[in-house]
Amino acid sequence: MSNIDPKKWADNVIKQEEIDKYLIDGKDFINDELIWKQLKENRKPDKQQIRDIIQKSLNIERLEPEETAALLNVEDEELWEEMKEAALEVKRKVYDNRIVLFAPLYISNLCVNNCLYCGFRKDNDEEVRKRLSMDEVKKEAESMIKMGHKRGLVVYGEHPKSDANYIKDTIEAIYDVRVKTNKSKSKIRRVNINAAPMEISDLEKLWKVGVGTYQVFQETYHHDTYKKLHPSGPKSNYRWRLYALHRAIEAGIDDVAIGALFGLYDWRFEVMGLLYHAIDLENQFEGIGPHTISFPRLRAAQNTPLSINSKYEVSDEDFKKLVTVLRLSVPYTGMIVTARERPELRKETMMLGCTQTDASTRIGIGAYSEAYTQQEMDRQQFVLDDTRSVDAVIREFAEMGMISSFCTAGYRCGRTGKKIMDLLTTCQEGKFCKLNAVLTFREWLDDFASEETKKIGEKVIKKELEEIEKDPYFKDKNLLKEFKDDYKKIKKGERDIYI
Amino acid sequence: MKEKLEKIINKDEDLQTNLNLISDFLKENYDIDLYFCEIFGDRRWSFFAGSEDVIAQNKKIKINKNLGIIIDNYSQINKSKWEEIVEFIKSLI
Repeated sequence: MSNIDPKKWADNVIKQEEIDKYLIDGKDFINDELIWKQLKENRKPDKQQIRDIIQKSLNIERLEPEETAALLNVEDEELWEEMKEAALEVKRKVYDNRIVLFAPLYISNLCVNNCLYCGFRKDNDEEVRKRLSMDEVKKEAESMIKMGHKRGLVVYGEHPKSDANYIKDTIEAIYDVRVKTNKSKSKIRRVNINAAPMEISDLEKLWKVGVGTYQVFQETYHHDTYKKLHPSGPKSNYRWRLYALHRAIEAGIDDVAIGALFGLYDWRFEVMGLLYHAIDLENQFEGIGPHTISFPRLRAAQNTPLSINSKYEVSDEDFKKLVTVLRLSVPYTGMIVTARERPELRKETMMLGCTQTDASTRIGIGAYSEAYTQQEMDRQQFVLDDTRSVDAVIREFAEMGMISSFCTAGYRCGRTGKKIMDLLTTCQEGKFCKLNAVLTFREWLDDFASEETKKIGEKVIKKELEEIEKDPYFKDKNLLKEFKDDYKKIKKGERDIYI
Repeated sequence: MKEKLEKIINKDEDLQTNLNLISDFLKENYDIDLYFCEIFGDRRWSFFAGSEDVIAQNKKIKINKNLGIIIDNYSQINKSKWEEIVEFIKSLI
């Protein structure tokens, strides 16, 4: 682990040539004036224009900025209802009715940056700082596995003590953990990360140890706001962050995830920024867009006035609108809503096309293994609005007729990057999602569910099995027999079988 | 099988090109769809060469710790032929 002076380290993070290579005519892909112009020029869209755009989304075609701008300007309540219905339909076409579950794992809150909205910022002397040792990381992973999680999202502050080598070691440590369950042994099967932008050679280190998705959120796409909110540290460089995922794809990590922190600037502008980000990735990397989009809302953080006092705070109604427009604008992408949101709002956004969420969430450093239930402001980045158990969250989804999935198949059989993009845009990936959701849900019900959840979960499985049996796709592609065999094996106690 | 594969590959070309040639050969002659994956960290399989048309994995064969094959219609040829193919690919690495 690095013992280098954090300031010296931070001064050397940015490699200008790894920004410049992606610029077009010296410019980045966010043109603030153009975005405002597009939002202004599409201010009064007519009904037919909006319905045509909705149809384009239903055809699983990514929208152009002018089209997204028109959707963002809709005022007619009836049209919003049509858009919301279409958003759910898009999700069903691309991902079927499954919701992927994951658990975030915060393992370091040391940070060289000073983001004015963040509890981890360098100058926040009320934050208790900690970076987990490898033994502690393993204990955290063990606790997550005991809850039934198979997919982790590991979160790191930007600091020499949590540099690429530390991240690499933690990924390997988490993958190594095995926990005995009542039928077999369980493990984390996919480690996604949320970490600061890195240079390509560092990203290659993570690729080689089998990192899953790499998330970097731009926070705000508005240049001036970004500058004001990020006064120092490597994160103050807008473009270093903007091209973090370009570098990742170049390093081989072809599952990348974008996001914005809603509440820092105008929400309509941020939706446009996310769309432009998706378009630039597609343009520069043969159609590989973001694997997921996240849209966290600003939450209260310890000793961080800006986190509770932003003039751009997003209301629940606007939040639902932005989720709807994102779903329609980038139909192929996964969409993540997190435990920052209240249970009832999470439930509503599931019906607007979200595909992934977290459960049993603890975001304090070391919080899973210590099993504390109260949130502790001084070791969290922000405060959660939903701390329900994974069992309770899954039960609620089952009551809604949705199946919870712990699938990690795509990543383990080459369905990533360009390949998964093609399967998503042709609505074939959803077929695998369905099969693997049933297989992994069967495992989870048998290994981890409460009696109450198991009861309702069985009804969901029964319905899914009937749908699979009737769908000609599975017969035509010779998948039905294989699926049935795999399902039987899982019922008998075999684990980690996927299609 | 080994002799046939030797005829279609070009030793002056890189591994990716030769794996594409093997994939094309198996498709044309045995109606087998497959693709090759690089393996990272003994867990992540990432598309490297071969058919873009494989929908589902019918069989997964690990050639070594860095390379694997995903096969759609494994039963088109018998196990010993697959063993020959795997041995041949190993000789290219």
